[in-house]
Amino acid sequence: MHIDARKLDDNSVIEGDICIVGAGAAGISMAIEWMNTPYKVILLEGGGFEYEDRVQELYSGKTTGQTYYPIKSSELHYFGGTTAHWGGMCSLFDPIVFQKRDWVALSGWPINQDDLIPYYKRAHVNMDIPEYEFDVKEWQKKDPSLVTMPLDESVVWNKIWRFSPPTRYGSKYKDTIVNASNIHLYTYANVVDIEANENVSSVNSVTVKNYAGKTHTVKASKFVFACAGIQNARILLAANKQAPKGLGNDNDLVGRYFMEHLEIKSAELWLKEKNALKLYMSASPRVQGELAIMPQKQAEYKILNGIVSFTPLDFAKQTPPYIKTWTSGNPLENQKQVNKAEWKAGGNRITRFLDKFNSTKDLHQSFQMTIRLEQEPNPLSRVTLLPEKDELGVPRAALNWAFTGLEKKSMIKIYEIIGQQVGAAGIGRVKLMEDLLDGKPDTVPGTTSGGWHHMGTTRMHEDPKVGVVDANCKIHGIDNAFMAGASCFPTGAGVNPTLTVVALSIKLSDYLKESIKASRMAVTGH
Amino acid sequence: MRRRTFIVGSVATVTVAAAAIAIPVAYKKYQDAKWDRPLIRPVILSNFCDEETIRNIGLAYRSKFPAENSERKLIDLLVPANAGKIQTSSDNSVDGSQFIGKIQQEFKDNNILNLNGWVLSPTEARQCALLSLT
Repeated sequence: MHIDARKLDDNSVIEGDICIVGAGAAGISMAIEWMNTPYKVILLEGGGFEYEDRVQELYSGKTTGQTYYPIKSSELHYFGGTTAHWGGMCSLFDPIVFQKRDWVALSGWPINQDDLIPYYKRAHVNMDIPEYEFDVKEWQKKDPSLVTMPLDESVVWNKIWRFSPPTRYGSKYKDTIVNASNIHLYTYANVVDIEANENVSSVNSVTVKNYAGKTHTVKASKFVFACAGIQNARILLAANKQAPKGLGNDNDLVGRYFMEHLEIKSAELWLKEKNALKLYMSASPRVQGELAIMPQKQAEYKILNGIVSFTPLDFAKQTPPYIKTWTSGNPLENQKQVNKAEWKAGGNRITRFLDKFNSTKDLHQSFQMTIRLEQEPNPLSRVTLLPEKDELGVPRAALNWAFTGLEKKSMIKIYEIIGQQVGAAGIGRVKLMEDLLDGKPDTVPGTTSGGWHHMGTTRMHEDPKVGVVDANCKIHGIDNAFMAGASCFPTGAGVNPTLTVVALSIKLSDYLKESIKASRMAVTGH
Repeated sequence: MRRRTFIVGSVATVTVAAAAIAIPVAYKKYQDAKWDRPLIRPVILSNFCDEETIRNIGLAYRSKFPAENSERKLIDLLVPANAGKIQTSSDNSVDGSQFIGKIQQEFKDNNILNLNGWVLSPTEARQCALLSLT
């Protein structure tokens, strides 16, 4: 059911078994897992069902360090969250990403890929991705024209992307959520504070506010914060009345280790003979290959996890990097600018344009290589609070996006590995962008964009001194509060996070169901 | 097997297309030029790089390896079996096909270098360097 929190009597008290804060991909994925259960689920959304700039303004903040998108427009603040403008790209985090890598600071998840595989499969269904298949050889059986580049498979491999339509969680799941009798969706319910028990070991309630001037209290036995990487950190840091450094922040980790994906058009592939590279274009049946480096080579060269995509160079040259076009605080305006740039380049959507290249008639000699690279966890890359407060009284967020130097080294090495492989195959040559070769290890090119992926700010680790949450995404030291989403990622992998966000959220949901069931049994005996 | 599949696929499509597509202008210019000699013609690069780009790569190589900054030295390094016998970079008696395999092997051995952003083998870089001296 749906309740507009603006229309409730002021100072209402809302109670449920579980309270999920945030109705984006993580929050909605969790909520639908609880449908038709005996539990009352409170789902809090700060906005309504449509974009409103006044609500979006609550996300405004400041950025320092490497140039980044305006915080206000880098996440969407209404039901469905940022899925309203995502591209639908989905892929698995590689097994190596979950492992402790002695060359990547603070790497190593307390879970591994096998732990997530069942949830990846369930996430596929939520996200409307047809079949669970990430093996290029299986796709080649279906379509033999999806030819791989003739590279040494012990060095380079073909990582597969799958595509959600993309599923807009807001439109797809609105009726489902609203019609679910045990899911109580409150719109215009912005969490502005968290109240804990006396010794700050358990959350008693959260306070929500809206522009109508209403303040309400939400009580539950479990709380899940699913507001994406910047806002998750902001909420915990701002809850500082009882815990001066913020809730769950005894070890000064909340907000630190902010990670994005570095997305840079930074090399070119020149082929001896023209080729369509069909596998590597966005193609029907919605599968796309990219080149990745084998784990043993990542270890040998001590580099980060990254992948490289290919776009016909003539098209790529005409489209500016996102960091140059996504400059407004208004996400709708930014989307218009991106569409305009792509239209000028030959199509109003990249996918539409690239579909033209799916035929072997569409041969090209040169391709833009774009890297998508994980960031090394860096304590100086972080979200903090500003003295300035938003209209509801919550301190605004500041983001300092910073790198360690391993990022640039990794980019160069990944391109050199692929260049070496292309040369060994005798099919062409690779040329790196000269900005990468400026000899300044700690800087990245000014064209470096992000993927609007906010990760790591409530990182997962079994040791409270190294992580904010444990392997079940529970905040260390708080027995009933959990974080959901990419803020829990200890490292970011080379691929987009949404599939893993949803998978991890479903995993958390299963854990909480068992936990609540066990608690009830302990009390009632059945 | 996978490499062969790729090459066969590529060759097939390119062959069909080639009937309608003229030889790229830059490539034709390159073939016609007076410096079209095996010692100074990096075969793969010449498919998509113009003369100026190749010369600049050569300049970068000579700057990076000043000990090789002479025609004599570069020729001897390119054709060590004939060291001292080949006098100029325009010598057309050199079998250019030897460089193709040698270059590919250097890539396979991970014997590569980066010049002006290009990931290259030493042999083709020396060809560029020699061209830049003409």
